[in-house]
Amino acid sequence: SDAEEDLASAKPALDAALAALNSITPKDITSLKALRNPPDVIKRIFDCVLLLRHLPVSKATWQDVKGAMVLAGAYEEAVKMMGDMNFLQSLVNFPKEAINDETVELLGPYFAAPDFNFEAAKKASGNVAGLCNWAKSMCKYHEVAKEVEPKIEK
Amino acid sequence: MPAVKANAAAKAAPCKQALAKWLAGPGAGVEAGMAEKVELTGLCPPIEKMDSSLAALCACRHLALSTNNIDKIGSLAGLESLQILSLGRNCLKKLENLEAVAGTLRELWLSYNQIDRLAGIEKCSQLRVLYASNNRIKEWSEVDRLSALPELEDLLLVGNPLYNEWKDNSALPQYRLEVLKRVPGLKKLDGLPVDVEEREAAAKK
Repeated sequence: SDAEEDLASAKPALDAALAALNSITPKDITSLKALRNPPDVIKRIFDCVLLLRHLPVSKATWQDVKGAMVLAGAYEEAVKMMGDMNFLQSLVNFPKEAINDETVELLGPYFAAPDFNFEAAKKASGNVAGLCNWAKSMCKYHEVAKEVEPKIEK
Repeated sequence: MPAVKANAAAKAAPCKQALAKWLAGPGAGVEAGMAEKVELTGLCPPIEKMDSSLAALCACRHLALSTNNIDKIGSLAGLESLQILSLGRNCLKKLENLEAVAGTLRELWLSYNQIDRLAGIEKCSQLRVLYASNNRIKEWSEVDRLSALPELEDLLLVGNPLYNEWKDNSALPQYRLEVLKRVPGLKKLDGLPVDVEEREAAAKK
């Protein structure tokens, strides 16, 4: 059926999300926690994770990163989040069905930054760059699932 | 949404200019009075004040103003078709000026503001969705106001002091019953479906 085909089209997004998480080890998180002031793009990636989990982020402020204005990330909350021993596991078990349209809209400005991609983040801070792909995949999944749900209910 | 070049960023972003820019860019080819979804989100410099330029958006069904620095809901007169009003991640302290759209508004997105009272929400009788995570709602009396909304089915209150208090006490199941007792028609609360057992338990409370 149409609905099944549409759902199948969401599978690559989910596979990408899992692969992104599997590329991150607890050791990566530990070494990131040791950084007082991590690279800017990493702070922004963590803002996206905070928003997806409905955790606090700061008031919207902008900063110049290599000639482009990008939203600033609030790192204190990210550090708190990483303090949870089950942080990575909680992302694996993340209730993706609970994502809503508002959250996707709130992530949009981060995704728009020219350096908000896996390659740039990987260069800046190694494996945790996978969280960038994870956040994007979660939004992609939501957009597909939203199209599919009404067809399934019929 | 294209990234903004640093040298193009001035200090203030009047709403009027932001709208004109959107109509000339992403909304190109559409007249203000014809646009159904208008996206003024995450602007640099941020919008600080809503102004009367929005009144031209008479066909707008979804007005997106999230991720700015708006401190007050301005006049929404003229937005005759507005169904989704998105104001998340701004600096709002209270609900106001919703009268003009109360009859058509179906979804109100307000997460990441500083709202502590929901007074005024009662007028939005068609409201189906209310997203208000990470605000400053502390009192059950604010949730009580939602009982006046017969269509409300999807409510998000995660990250408010009220929610955090119950979460910190590992009492989220009881918190859910307290909400459902006040808003029995909910189908979804804090992103999770309301199940039959919960609904029955809340009805007995």
